[in-house]
Amino acid sequence: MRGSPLLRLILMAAALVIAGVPVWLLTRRSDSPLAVPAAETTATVNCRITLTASAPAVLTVSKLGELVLSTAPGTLTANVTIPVDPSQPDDVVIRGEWSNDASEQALRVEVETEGKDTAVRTFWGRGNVEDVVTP
Amino acid sequence: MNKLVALFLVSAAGILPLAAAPLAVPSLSTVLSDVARNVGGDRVEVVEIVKAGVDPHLFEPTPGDVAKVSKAAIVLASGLGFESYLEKLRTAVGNGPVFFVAGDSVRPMTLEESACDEHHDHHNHHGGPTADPHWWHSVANVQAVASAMAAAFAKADPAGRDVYLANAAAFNKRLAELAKWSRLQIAALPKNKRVLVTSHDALGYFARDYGFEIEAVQGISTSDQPSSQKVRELIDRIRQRGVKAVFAENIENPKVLEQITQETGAKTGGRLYADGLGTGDAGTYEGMIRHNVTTIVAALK
Repeated sequence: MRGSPLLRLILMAAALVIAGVPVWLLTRRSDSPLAVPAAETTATVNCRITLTASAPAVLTVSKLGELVLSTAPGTLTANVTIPVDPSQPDDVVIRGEWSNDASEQALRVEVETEGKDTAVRTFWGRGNVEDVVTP
Repeated sequence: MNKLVALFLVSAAGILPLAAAPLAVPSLSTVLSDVARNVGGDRVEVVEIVKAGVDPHLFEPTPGDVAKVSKAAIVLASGLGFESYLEKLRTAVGNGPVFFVAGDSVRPMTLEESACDEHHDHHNHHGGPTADPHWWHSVANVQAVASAMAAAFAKADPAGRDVYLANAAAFNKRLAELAKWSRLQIAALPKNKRVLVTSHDALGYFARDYGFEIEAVQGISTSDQPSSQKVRELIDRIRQRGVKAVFAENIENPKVLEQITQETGAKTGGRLYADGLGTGDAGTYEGMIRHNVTTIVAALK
């Protein structure tokens, strides 16, 4: 064990670094959020949404902030088919917009999801109607 | 001055009836105080026994509060065991005032029904069976309470019946718009992100209405203290589910929330008003709901 004190110091420092690195890696605080587990792939089913207005209108359907249907003005009926997770179906926003608000108008919404009964709702409003349906 | 004298003379002549004194209405809830102002309008004077910022779970009425309640015709209470002192207060004031207990006008959720997590112990510290007393987090419940309150005010002040009913109808119409606004805001959140990690388990009705799951640090009352094992389990579940944010309110032990954010990487999503109204924009019921919904959607989106 005899040798240069300088060499022994260097060897001791190297041993400390080798032992310390794993400890530091295990105990350091991570600045970034822990990794989110990868989303499990879930089977989706089709959902057909049909909008029918009482007078010509602009009809839109959006899901999680993204438009999935937008019609030209003067549309009476339109439909769109979207994939949904049957165990956790996300909400869908439907909207009808009329060129004048002189009278009350209706927007009928038919939601046909595979494996479920068809759901029908009617929304009323002047000028526009906007609401949420869940497939 | 001449106008004042003229007005007095006209009133004295019986041509104009002198205005009746407003109905004094002590309130044990900040939410009910706001509902009463909307339903009662100028015909009621709300006396806030429990004020914004006070933890109602820990509130106890003073002798001065008891004196105010005993002089009133009608007293507003949340019920469902929220006011642990309510029976003692009733006994103390005797047969004088009528107690309007809002919880009697709603269909209560049991704690098992509430969206709180299945791993939690459901202790009811309010003395009731197992009802979740935080009914006001469902807008539909507040509509039911407003209608019932209008009927109660009309009974105490029959001359104001039409005013109370019209005010309640107008308020309920605004609440229907509020509920729709909430639905539209929350629709932007995927269902798998609708997890509310909160200080205590107060948002069960909100969770039911909008499809959230609750992971509460404390139990149903702010006086419940979490065990270290419970906190550890909660941290594990937050990690597993990749929850982005946790929400503070009038938590008694902020260190627990800090520990959770540090160990999970979730951020603090902001402050939610769980046990009553706040101040500023959250000083009204509608403002409180808008604040909570906006805070939740912004943090979890």
